Amino acid sequence: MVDVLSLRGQNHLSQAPSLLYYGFVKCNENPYNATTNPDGIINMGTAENKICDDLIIPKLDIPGHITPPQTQYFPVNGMTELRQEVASFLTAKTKADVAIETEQVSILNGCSAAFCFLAYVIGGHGDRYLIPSPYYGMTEKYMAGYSGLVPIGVELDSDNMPDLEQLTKSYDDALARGEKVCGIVLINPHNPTGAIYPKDRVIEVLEFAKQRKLHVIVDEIYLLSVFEEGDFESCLSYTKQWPDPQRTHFIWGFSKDFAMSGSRCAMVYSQNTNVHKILQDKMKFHTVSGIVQMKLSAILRDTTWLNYFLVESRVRLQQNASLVMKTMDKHEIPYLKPRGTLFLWVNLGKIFKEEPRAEEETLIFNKMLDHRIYIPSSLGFKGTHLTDGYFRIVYAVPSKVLALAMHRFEKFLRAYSLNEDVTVEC
Amino acid sequence: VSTQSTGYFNNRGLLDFRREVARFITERANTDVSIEAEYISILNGCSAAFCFLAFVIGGHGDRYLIPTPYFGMTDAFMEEYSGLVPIGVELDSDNMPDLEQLTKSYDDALARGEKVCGIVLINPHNPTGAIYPKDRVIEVLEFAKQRKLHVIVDEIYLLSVFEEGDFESCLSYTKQWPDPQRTHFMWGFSKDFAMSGSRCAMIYSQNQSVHKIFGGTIGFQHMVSGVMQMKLCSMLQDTTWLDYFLAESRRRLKKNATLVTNTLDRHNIPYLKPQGTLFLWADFRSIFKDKPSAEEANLIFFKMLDHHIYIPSSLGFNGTHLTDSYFRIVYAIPNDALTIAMQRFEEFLAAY
Repeated sequence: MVDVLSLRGQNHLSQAPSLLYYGFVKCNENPYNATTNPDGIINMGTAENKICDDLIIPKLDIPGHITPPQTQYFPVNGMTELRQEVASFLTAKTKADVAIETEQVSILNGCSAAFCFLAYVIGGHGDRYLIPSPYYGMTEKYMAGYSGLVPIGVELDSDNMPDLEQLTKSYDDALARGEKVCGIVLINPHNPTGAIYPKDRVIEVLEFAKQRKLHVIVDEIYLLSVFEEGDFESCLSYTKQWPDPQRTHFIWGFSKDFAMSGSRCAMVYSQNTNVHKILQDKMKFHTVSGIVQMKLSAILRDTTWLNYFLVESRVRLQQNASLVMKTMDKHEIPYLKPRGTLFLWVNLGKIFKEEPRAEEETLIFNKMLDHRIYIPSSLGFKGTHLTDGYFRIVYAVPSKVLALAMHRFEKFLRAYSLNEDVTVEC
Repeated sequence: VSTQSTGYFNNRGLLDFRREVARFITERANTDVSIEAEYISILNGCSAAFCFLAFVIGGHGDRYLIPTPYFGMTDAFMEEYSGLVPIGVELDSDNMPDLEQLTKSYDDALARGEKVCGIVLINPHNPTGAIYPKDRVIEVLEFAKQRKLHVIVDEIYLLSVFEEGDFESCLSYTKQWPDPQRTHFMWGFSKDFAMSGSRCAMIYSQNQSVHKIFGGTIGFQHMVSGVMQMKLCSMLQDTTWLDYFLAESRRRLKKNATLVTNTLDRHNIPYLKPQGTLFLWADFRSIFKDKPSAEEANLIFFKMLDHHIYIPSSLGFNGTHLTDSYFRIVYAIPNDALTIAMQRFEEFLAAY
């Protein structure tokens, strides 16, 4: 019974769920399975790496040697060993300009938790934060849930890069409305566009933030899913050039790069020691099981396997991306050339029949569901009118399934152009 | 390990695991009605459970009543994200919740213009180790219903009671809950399974909206690794081992408790007879040089630290002046260490 609960609890339920949540639930209600449920919905919408199970599962399955420290209370912000391993691992993989120190790292049970916690420490309830739009729609839920921060979407420029002019306008407009802005959120590589912000653009944003005493959260969750290693410069590789290190906070997690979104393990790097102290002293809400922390530590220590896995994962991702691009090319559907992440951002504008497109976006989304594929539209990404007609296609699903998904997509295209209803076929 | 547990799954916990937890708790708590998986949400600790429940039972700044003394971190869990404020309510002379005191605290709060949204019960009680019997719990639930207050019942020490029959879980009389929509139960693996590092607990509530909210987006912030859930799931499925473990654990706890009570008896230090949990509540008033005071309790605490034993005073449990002379001694440490600890304690007594 909802009305016996707090207003803030009730508000949660009355908010429309994110399209991304809706799609995820729909897929779980009727999941595709080649043998048991061939008519099920193929999930091309939830950004997970499902093409490395054969590599990851054996690694997690290894019966480890469990010792008491893992089964007993340990530091709330992460076992020292995992924090150490994560620090060395990221130092190496991001080519960090300064070695990351254990004390600058905290472990939490997911990037969602990291957003939630950082939101709590960077601003007060009701404060605003700027975030380039479109953006991964769930981010605002994580920042709002407990911590009450409110997003201001800021249009990207025509290259899908953060736009200083737009940032400035959004910031000034907010102030004019009497709102308090506490920070900026950057997701790089970007979700949903897959764009990679180069160093100079990131530093521009950091400078902009420093001038206004804003915090910046940089989420690099797709750090190691970029196809060509040299294509991505992590902000950890130029920390010495951060204008305001005390207000700059980095997030990364195991979910995407390690193809284990169920591990529920992520990290925050910040040079601001109070961030870690607050988490450690009072906020025992984002801890990760000790056994899991030690398993992940062991995985990070296995550099031989790591080197193989990270390369192989990227090869497979790129292969799958190509399959999707081929289908798009065949139908002359434009898209942002994917350089990594698990998805690509396509412009289905040409199949639309009407203007404005927002409503028809939902129709197309539902028609695709009728064809048993889940592909979220820009609605799931808080897009603006500029991104109407865009959809995000996740390609990190097993090859055979991907091929079938593309087949269903083509059937949908045909049916939609001919105004035909779907005929269900496996 | 399978792709189901390594990929994203329902915030509320893997269904297999929730089903297993439901089965487990139905049996071990002797529930009157079979617990259903749909009334359970899994989170990463009882601390998270307090935090989340605080969010859904009241608004920022609302008060909740909690018998005092109480486990000191509870208020941090309820306050940090969720902003609830505790009102400690004196227990009666049997360390039981006192309706008169509850009523007074509630009325005083209202008179101050404060909003009270709930009551928190920890049973078996931390730090006293007292066990609230069924009739006392129902009294509190009735009190709460009349005022439309939520009640959070934390039974984290459920299976650490030495004699099984000594504890009646509130789950064994759910049909008598006056207000099931406002009654929320929590339990976790930390104490009963001797694995505080597992970071895994559960909430049982018949209020489906509670689980809907958790399953929406807040639950993301408290998820337990899929791999861990499946490990615990198989542990719960091994009923033969479970029977052995739970009995053996209780036996060892009782043995250790006796070692401590023997020492205390030798020095005529009174204590609340431990029936379970991992600790006992001892009254050091004979040690105090003056009338018991928080100041001297602190001094004694530090003197004991000088002797290299850590035994917190009631200051760690938000005690009142009534509990100034009390200390909580954890006995669930390996026997040889416990023996040494008691030796050091006796050395401290002699020195002080």
